[in-house]
Amino acid sequence: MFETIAVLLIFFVLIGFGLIFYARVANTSVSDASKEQFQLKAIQTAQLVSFLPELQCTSSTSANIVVDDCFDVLKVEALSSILNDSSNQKIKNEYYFDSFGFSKIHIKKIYPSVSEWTIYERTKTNSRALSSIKVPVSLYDAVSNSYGFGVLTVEVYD
Amino acid sequence: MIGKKSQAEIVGLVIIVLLITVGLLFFVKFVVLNDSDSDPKKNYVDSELASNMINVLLKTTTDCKKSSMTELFQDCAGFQRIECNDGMDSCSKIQQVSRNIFNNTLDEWKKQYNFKAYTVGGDTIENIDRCRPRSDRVSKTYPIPTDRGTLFITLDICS
Repeated sequence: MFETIAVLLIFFVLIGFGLIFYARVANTSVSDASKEQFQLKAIQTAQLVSFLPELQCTSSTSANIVVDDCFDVLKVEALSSILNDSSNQKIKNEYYFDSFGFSKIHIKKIYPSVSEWTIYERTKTNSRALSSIKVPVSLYDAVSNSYGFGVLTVEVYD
Repeated sequence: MIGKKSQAEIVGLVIIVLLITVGLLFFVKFVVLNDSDSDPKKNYVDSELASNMINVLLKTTTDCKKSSMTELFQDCAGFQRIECNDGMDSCSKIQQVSRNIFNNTLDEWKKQYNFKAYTVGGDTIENIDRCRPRSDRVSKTYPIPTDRGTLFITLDICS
């Protein structure tokens, strides 16, 4: 009788350990999947911004030829000032929100000089950035006809 | 009767051994084999980062007679005819600009990397090695034609 109870006890303890372990693994998997979703969203947003006609450089010979990994500084300044203007909140909150959602898109020029532009920012109160991606981009200055080195940062919020 | 009891005990032992084995298999699958470095998404991001980094770096216009980094690399690997306004030659300017850019990007983001520019003959123009030995790496190489053969620019992003 005592042996049977001992065996059953060990059996249930082992089952219990198994269940606890499985629950933890399953919980981690759900958390990983959620994190992966936000990372994918950040990649998708970075890709969208990289191919945004409002920012892209075009060849000096033809406006139809797009230069890869390049933003025109004059376009960056223009879009940044338009979207940060309080009278244009409708464009930001309706048109661009459909593409970028709750995120922050920021460009920083590193070389030859340092300057920064926030292209788009829309976050909920008390929300935190769940995923961030940094993409090196060329910043073309049409005035001096030169290319600077910049970094596009996309942060996705919950 | 005694024989039947010992048989039941053996069955109990077998069940316990089976449960432990299943538990171990779970542990091995989810903990030991859960290698985040083999994540294809991370590889994709690192690969894009390496590719963009070299592409953008080579396109960058420097303050050395408005030459691009590609032109400076070509001159440095060739006959070194360019002399910058601040007295530097193309090789020193490459070092100054590339270190400035890497300090403000990959170093700041705590990314391990190895940036190397070398000729087919084995001459190394620039080598910044911030990778741990034997670490996994995603690598991108750009060949640049020069007066003295092909120059290879390589950037490894290590994990």
